[in-house]
Amino acid sequence: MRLRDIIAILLNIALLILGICWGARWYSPMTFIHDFENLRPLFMLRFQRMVTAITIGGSLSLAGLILQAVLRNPLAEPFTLGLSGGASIGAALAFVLGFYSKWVFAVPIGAFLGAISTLIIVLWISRCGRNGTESLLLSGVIAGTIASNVLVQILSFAQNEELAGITWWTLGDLQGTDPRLLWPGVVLLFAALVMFRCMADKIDAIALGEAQAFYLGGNPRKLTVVLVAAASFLAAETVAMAGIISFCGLIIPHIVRQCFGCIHRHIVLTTALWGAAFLMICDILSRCISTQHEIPIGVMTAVIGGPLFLWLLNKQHHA
Amino acid sequence: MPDSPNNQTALRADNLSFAYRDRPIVRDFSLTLVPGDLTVLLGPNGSGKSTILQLLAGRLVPQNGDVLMDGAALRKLSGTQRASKIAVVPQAAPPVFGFTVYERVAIGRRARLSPFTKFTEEDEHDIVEAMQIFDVERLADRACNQLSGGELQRVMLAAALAQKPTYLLLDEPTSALDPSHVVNTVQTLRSLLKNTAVLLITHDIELAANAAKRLVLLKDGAVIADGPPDTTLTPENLTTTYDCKASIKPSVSFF
Repeated sequence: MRLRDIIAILLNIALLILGICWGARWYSPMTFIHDFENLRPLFMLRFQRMVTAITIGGSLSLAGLILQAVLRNPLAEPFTLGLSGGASIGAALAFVLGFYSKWVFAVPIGAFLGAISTLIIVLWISRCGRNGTESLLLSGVIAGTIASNVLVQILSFAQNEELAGITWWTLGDLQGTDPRLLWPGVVLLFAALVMFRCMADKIDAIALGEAQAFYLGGNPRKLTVVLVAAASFLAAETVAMAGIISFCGLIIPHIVRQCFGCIHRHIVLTTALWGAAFLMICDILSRCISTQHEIPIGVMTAVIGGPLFLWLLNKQHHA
Repeated sequence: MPDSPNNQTALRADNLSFAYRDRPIVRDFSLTLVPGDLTVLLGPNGSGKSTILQLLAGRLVPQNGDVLMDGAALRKLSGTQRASKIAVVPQAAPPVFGFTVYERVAIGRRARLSPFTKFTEEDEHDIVEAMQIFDVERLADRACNQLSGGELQRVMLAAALAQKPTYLLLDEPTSALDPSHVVNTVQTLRSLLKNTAVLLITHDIELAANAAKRLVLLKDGAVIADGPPDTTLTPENLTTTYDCKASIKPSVSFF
């Protein structure tokens, strides 16, 4: 393991401890140790929330890294192929049709199915990448636009309470993640880390272009479909867990590439670790800036990630 | 050139034909590359040179004929088997991401290795040597997407060399190089010939005349002339190939 990854793991542990201690009320680590029996529910609540942040931050960053490489587009992010639009439709239908009050998994499952359905449609329209990544990208953008308009139509049927639920969901929420969804997410993240590390050399090759990927021994079409499907599945899982969280999957791969280079065997783990750290920082801030009204995590990632991205862009331009 | 036996080290194109939809691009094309050969394909735009290169590399599948690598059908070999013997330098296009020059050359070498294998000293040596040969070692930490066209071409050549191929297929690799780097590239290609067969596509007739051991003139996907440069580069053949009157005169040469 590289030194930078050890540092990132230590940073993640420090943020995990900080996130458990800091909230509406501060409890020091010693307080937790001495009075663990009484503080156990609070500890579990905050611990689970931080693990959710780690899982989602890591998953979104990894998904962004892979989609940017495969689509050879620095602006690609986990929801580029219209996944957020499809997920929003699934979640909105769960709200509007009243399923959300009858079954705790209605919204996450609806969002997951919406995202995966969109992915299947996009892959089908682009003939599984047979027409090149441009066609895949365009199909995704068009699917996303259609989904956004369908969502507006669904929203017009929603009652106030449902509307508030949908709005809150589209801004991301780490608090409401059911532990039964969290642990499959953790397993999926680890599986993705292993898969992308094993395929890292092929990812390098496809990031150079379809022709280069072929000449370096890969099958570009198969690689594109497998990697796009895996990254999108990872993103769909995060949507099911906590709604739509923007910027994490866009900005973290950029920062990692700029700091540590572009070779994927060196940056797959690093990207997941920095993504986890970024989302934990955003979550801690979203809880602590206002103790009365928690700021949605999606708003916090946008407020921090947006200016950071512009600064990076400016720095790259001057370089 | 005599056909090689099927089991010999050779990349062999047998009667290849290829068409995009109804438009024939390559017609009944045959060629055998064996280590020691430096073959140049010369022809006007749209004569099928790049298509032939892609057929020989296995990226395109011919409608008729077959490509055999060391006696085995290329289309039946795995990607790793293919990449361990054939390296291709396509026309240079800067990568979207900022791979450094060292990283880009190392990716060429990685094509030979399994996913968790670390570079050995020999791998590191070959990468550095390839960068030195094409004069890009001093650019090792520069991002490829910030290089000039000529520098990028030298990086692509170094990456292909680091792959240690038996068959090296080059598509206009010197189009953006200055004369000294063109001469260096030709000298390097000649020095590789003991273990490598080189196919070079170019529009530079002077380069073709000086570099080639064998020269193939193409027009509309068909062979106009095939043989050593002194027999193929005649005014008649050039006039037929390029559809404009050609004559051969002594001129300034770096070779």
